[in-house]
This record gives sequence, C-alpha cells and structure tokens, in this order.
Amino acid sequence: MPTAAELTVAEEMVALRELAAGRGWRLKEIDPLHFHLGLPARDQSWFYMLVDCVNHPVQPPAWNWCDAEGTHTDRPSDRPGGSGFLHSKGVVCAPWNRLAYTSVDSRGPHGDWTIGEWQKNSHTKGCTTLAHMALRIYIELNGPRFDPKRLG
Amino acid sequence: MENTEELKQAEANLAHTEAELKIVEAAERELEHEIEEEREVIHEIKAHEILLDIGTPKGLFKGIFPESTKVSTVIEAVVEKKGLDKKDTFELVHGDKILQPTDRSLESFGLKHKAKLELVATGSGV
Repeated sequence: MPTAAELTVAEEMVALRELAAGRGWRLKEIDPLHFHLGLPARDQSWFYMLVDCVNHPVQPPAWNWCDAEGTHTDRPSDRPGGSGFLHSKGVVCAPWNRLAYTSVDSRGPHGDWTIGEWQKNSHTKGCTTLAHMALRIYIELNGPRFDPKRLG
Repeated sequence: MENTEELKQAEANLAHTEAELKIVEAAERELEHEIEEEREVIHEIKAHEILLDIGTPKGLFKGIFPESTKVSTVIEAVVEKKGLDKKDTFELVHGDKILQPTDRSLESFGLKHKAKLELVATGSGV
C-alpha cells in the first residue's frame, strides 16, 4: 500500500512533469519519493538537483544541488552562486527546503524555523508543491539574484 | 551455405533499418502535427493579441490576451482557470523580469505575439 508521502508526490508530480516537458527541463524519476531535476540558468549552463520527498508533506522535501548524473551532492562546483534563495552556504534557503533547517543540515541557515510548521511559515508564501518549488528555483536561476560564478 | 548466412544477415539488417525508419517516420509525423497545431494557434492570434504560455504551480496554461490587458487581469484569469489558491499573492515573471507594477499592460513590458512567462507566489528568499 502506498504511503501518504508517495500519494502526495504522485499527485504533485503530474504538474511537475507537465512543466518539465513544456520547458525542456531534465526530469528523471528515480522512485516514488526521489527524483533528479536539471534546470537551465540565465548563463545557459545547467544545474541539477536530487530531491528527497520522504515524509512530504509532513516535512518539506530536501532539494540538494548535485551533478548531472546525480551521483555527487557534496561538490561546491555543482551549486550556483547568488543571493536570496540561492544562499552562499550552498542550499536553497526557503522553509520549503528541508536542508535550510540547521536541525537537519549543518549548512542550513535557519535554526529559528520549526520544520513541522513549514507550511505555516510566513516565508513559504503558498510555495507548498513540488512544481511550485521547481518553478521558483528555475526563476531564481534565471533572475537577477543568480550569479554565474559557482560556489567552487 | 555462406550465401544463406549472408542473406540472413542482410535480411536482419533490413528489418532493423525498417524498424528505425518507422520510428523516424513516427517522430516526423508527431513533429508535423505539433507544427500544424502551432500554425493553427498562431492563425488564431489577431493583431494586437499575445499568446501567453505560462508555467504555473499547477502545470502549463496557454491563452490569448489583448496586448492592452493589465498584468493583474492575466494573473486573475490564470489563478481562476488553474484553481490556484486566491489567498496567495502571485507574480508573473518574464525571463529575469518580474512584471510589476501589475496595473501596467502586457505591451508596456515589450511583450508581443508570443511569450513564455512563469507564475509563482511572491517572494525573494530569506
């Protein structure tokens, strides 16, 4: 029997697949709770993320920068430079990213957020589904806050 | 004997090539269909109208709007059509530009004929 997280992800993947097909994003579904997503940036380069949706939506997914194959998540050269959501610590800084919480990841800038209340966090601003999160990251990679100089 | 083997190999190669050809032909038909659909959509666009292809949290939205339409009106239409939460505040983004203020028209942002936009909840990172 599918878990609550698997059912939620299955429902949310419909919109993400449509966006990926329509925008030419590179989406690889690994299993019901994990996928690999490639997004183009303003400088025509590509950035990739491994996304772990275990416990979503009780907890937010973990959006982890990685390489094109999805085998490395620890290399600064796979992480974009910038500001705002594109945090200099190498994580997407938003309540909807599990890695933004200090309690989960030492790079997480926020010890002041409670992970179980991520949907109520005023900074979430309605960004609660996988497609919405992917759109926001895509916009950031193509917006003025993106810095083509990678973190490593 | 040798000729029979060569013949079998040639037949296998031919079958393989025919299968590849069918795949290419299918892809070609699909592409022609897509081009035809695009043509139909473009023909539907009258002067001073814009075809908007908008990425939203609930998938893609396509619609034709007069160039003079305010950005806020487009946002309202997409939120309604895609069943997005009206409690959230959304912004339309074109490339690296946020289309603000939203009481300006599409044409005032230089949009013409066709444009790809993204609709997301407002936010600038924390």
